[in-house]
Amino acid sequence: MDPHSTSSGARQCLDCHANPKTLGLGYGSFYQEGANSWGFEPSCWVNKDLFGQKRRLDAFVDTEGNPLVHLGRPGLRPFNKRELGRIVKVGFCLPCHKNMEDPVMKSWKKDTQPTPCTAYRKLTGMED
Amino acid sequence: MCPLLSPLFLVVLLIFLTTTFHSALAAVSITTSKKATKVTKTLSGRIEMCLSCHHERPDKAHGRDVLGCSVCHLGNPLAGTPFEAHKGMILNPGDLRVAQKTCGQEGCHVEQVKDIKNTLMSTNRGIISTLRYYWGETDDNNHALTVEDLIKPDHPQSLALDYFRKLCGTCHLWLPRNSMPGFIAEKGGGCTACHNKKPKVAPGKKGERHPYITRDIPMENCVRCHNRSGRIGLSYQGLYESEGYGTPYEDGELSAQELPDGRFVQKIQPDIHYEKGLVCIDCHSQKELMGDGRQRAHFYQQVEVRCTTCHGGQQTLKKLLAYQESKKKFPMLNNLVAAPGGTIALKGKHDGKLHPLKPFSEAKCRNQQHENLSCQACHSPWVPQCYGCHVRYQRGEKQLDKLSLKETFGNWKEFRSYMRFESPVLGVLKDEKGHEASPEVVILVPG
Repeated sequence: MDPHSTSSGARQCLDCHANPKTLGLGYGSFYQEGANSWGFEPSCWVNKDLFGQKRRLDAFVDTEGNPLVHLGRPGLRPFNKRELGRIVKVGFCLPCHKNMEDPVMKSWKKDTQPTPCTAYRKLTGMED
Repeated sequence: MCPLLSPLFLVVLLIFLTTTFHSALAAVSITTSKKATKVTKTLSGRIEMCLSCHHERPDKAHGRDVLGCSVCHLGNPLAGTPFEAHKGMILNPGDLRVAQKTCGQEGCHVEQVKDIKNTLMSTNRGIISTLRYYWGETDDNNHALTVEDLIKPDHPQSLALDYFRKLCGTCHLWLPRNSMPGFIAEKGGGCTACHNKKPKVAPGKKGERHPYITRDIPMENCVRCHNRSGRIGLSYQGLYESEGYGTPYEDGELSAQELPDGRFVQKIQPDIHYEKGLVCIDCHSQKELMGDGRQRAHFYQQVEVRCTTCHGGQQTLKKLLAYQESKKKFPMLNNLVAAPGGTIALKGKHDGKLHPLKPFSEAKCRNQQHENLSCQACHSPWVPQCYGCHVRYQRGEKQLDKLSLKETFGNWKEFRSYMRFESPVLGVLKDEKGHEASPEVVILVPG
């Protein structure tokens, strides 16, 4: 849909690559589990009293890429596991390589695995 | 003593009967004794006696001296007496049930009246088919059931259709104008639903006012319906529908920012196009809104103008302007103009101003990593999001069926767990053939 709230400026990189809400996972935080593995800690819990629903109202998809909602248009779906992984991994590099002007981001290919640079290794706990 | 026999009650009853009887007599004497004394020949060559009594002034194109009354309102313009003259008269010529004989008659808007009956604003096909698909009543969301089908008596019913009739059925062009109470009275009315604005011409001799028929559709006419579901009419103006507590309170009272239907709103960042003075009809053109005669199932099939139509650069605009000026077919946009400096701009239909059309950035918008993103995915900073949408159905209670205008059994009420305005959730849309090769990243909204 077009929300009709257009702005001349675009959303910032972090708003998609480091925001689980934008990616359909709901409110919460990402965490790094290793060089190329990540996790998600939701900040909302399942309300078991809500008509027996087993999911959070703010989530479209789980971290495995399983859709949690039925969307009204055929061909429309939340991101799958591969897409989620690809988008989230960019987010871990954004604290240093902030935008598309950065040489690392300029040369980024769709399936790039983040290079374990020193900062990245420290950030992810691979190095003290 | 029985209160109905008290002296005071009898006196009041006597006064009531006397005044009512006199009023009735007066009304009868007006309708039977008054005769037209003036015969008018309109510019179109018709003889009209209606203008002897009626002094309302429509807009210039439909002026009283140009068309008279009966061309649009039918009746008998030669009768001379109100009773005879008003036989077969139509109050709202725009009503789709009669529009073929009025607005759509030969020499007037023949094609438009044929086309409009096939557009989504008349058919509601997208709402009906998606609702039935959502609720598991059909296997796809493209079924061709329309409002025109549903208003026929004895049309088969279902739960999804009952829900549509009770809750959704006021936002379509088949709804007779003034058939509903309160704020809904202004909805519907066929052509009149859109082509009607507050009169800006002087009233008639006795202060009578005729609706002002216009091509300059006021935004309020669109927002009268487009304010629920995606709330686009509200968001465009920077109005966010808040929870129903009336906050933020003003001087200890509920917020004064309230919609006619009782929902409270708060002002936040509006759409950039609204800030620049553009209204709905600047982007949503005639063919897109009124159709080309072909019936479509969903709005995304009917939409013609995209962001890149205007922001695709001067080369694209030059082609569009050349097409517009060739007048061969209906142009996608009809308000492009050559602006000073050799550029092409959009002339606001409402404000008359020239709006420069900046091209999108190739570097930012077409880089390899983001080439599949829709414009909205990045340039829509917020969208109203309604979580935990659910409905209650009470079989034993009655509710007004907005299509048949009768109370029938089955009462629906909508609820939501909470509503937020937040940066939109993104997801993936396959192309129209269902291919995954180049999916588009689009906005998802919870339902």
